[in-house]
Amino acid sequence: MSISQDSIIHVSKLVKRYSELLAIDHLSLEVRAGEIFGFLGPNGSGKTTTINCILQLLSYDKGEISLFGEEMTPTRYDLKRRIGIVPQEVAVYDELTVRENIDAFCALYVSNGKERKALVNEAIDFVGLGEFVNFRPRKLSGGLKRRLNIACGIAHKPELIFLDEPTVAVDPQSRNAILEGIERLNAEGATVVYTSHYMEEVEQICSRVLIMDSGREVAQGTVDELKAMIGMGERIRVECASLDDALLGAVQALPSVRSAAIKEGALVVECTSGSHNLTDVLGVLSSTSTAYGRVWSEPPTLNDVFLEITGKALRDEA
Amino acid sequence: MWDNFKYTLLSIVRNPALLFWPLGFPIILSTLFSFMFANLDESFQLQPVALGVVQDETYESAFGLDDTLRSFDGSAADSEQHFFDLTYYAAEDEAETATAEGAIDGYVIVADGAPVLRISAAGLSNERRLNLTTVTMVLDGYVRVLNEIETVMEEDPTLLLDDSAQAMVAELVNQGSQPTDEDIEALVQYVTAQGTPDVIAGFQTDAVRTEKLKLTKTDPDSSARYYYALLGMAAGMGMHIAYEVVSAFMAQKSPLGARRTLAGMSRWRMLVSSLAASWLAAFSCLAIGMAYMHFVVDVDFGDRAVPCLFALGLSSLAFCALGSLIATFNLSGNLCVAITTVLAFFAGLYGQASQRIADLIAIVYPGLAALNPVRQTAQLFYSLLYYDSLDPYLHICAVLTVMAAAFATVAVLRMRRQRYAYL
Repeated sequence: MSISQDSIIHVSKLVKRYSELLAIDHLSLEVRAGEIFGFLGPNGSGKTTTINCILQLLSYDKGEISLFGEEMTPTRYDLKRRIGIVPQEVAVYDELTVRENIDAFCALYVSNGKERKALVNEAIDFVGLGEFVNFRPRKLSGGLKRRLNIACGIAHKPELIFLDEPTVAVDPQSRNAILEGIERLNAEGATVVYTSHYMEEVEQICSRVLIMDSGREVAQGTVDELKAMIGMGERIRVECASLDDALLGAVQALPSVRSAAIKEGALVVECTSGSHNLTDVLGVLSSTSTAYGRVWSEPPTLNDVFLEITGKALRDEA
Repeated sequence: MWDNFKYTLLSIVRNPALLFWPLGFPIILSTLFSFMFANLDESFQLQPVALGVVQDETYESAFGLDDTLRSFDGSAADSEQHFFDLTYYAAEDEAETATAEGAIDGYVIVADGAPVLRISAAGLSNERRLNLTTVTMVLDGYVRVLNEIETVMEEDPTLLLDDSAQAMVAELVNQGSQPTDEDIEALVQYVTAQGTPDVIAGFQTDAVRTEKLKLTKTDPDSSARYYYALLGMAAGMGMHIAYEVVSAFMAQKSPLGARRTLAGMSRWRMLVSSLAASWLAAFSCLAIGMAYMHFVVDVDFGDRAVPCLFALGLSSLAFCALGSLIATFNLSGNLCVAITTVLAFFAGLYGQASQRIADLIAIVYPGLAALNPVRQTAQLFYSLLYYDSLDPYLHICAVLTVMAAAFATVAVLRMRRQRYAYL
């Protein structure tokens, strides 16, 4: 597999086994400079394992991994210095203050004290922890800890940032601030690999998405490409005064309708992609003289795509 | 590296749980030891006896007895020979009254030509019996010497004379003829001028008395071994600091470890700076512990402060390197405590039984004993306290240096290219 010039991460046919369990099954992916690359998958699908292999934390059985166009090995500290990590769990020193924590992590990448001081101040401003610089982590709320976790990962201004579910268990305001921050980092030139279970977040910020299941890539592309991939159109919901099986049959008979059902006094219709689905459904209601009230038409979400591709069966962490 | 060292040290200092074992533990235990050993030491220390003397005619006629007793009196003797505080009484009644009132522990009286010690009931108590034993030893010694003098006087009185007088007699004998009156007169004048007791003193000093010799630089202290082994154990507990610090950048130990493993600083730099920080913390704890033992508990470390501190530094370095090595394996930190506890047993910390076993191993398997860093630490202090030469000390230093280098090297090699199959 050839590596394109703007490739930041290049993974080719990666295989990782945990004894009998095949955790990653010949996975290939490419992340290009300037992207926010979304990594999606159910629990145990191999997302974190893939990232750990890319970062050479985990050994792997087969495959090639390049970062910034160069082969990645455990001792490529020159490449590691260009990477920022924001792990899923808050991983900071409990004994150090907010400022000390950020400085301690930044010092692992930047040795010049003066340069580092400016970077630390910038990171503090970036995550909005200015009022809490002398607090120790145990005195911070969950959202503030998350922001500290992010500051520790980005203070050295990395070119490539891995964010592993950074918004877990944070309030909507903090989540919004974090997402805006990620977009700002990207706008400043950083390439971001973003892992999350929150589909709306991925849909909001990611330029491309890879969906994994059982260690394999099941879909990859932009959000629109993924939506087009499953052939799902909008979901139409109509409040009707009276609903009967004849009406339901007439709606289901429409060529662009995938399914129709009566739920809580409303007609719910899932359509395939098409240009006049709403007109068709409303036409059936008019032709059967069915009185109707409010009408909703929702385009498919990434969540719909995800469930369509990975199925609706419950998953547990392997 | 400096920043990693600084922040590692800061996180150690702010973690009281980490500092308890190397700092709190020796202070608490040495305080307990001091209470335990205080009574033990006192029971072996001689206290001056308040001794009465019935100074009647028979006492005055006892040849050399008063001189003998006065030589151990507080006013005349040096501190090591201060066994008695003498009080003189004109008659036995007065001495008896003073004994009954507790003013003196007993009194000496000369009866039937020999000195006799009479003591109060209180003098028979355990606390005072040892002290009064010194009186009986002195009196027995006096009687023995007197008997020997009497025997010699019967067999060869000239042996009682000092070297000069003996030389004069020998010259008279060697003349091979009857000595002249002038020669005999000169001898009599010499003996008279010197005084008979002094001439006889020459006999006592040269021929009878046993002299005390010191084989070690400092007097042996039965409790010092416990304190030294305790310092060795505290140094071992310092291993836990290094374990925790190094674990903080081992990916399989914590999310923080994983994050630091992925950082842009090489593992060996992280290890060296973390090891240095943990060593400084452990060493400081030990130095404080040793200072507490010396200045508060009054443990004798001799007069070699700098080598003592160097010993602590080297010992804590060896243990910190071992703690780092253990941290590179996926093993519990409790192992550090377990190892130290076992090694302390074989260093003799847990009483006389463990000391006997430790000594036995040192005799039968000296190589095995040398591998015990807790014992080696205790031996460092022993060698400084008791030996004039620094050779034994330097030998142990060399062993600990090799240990530290070996542990640290293996730890670096294990970490350098470490990747994990599982996290």
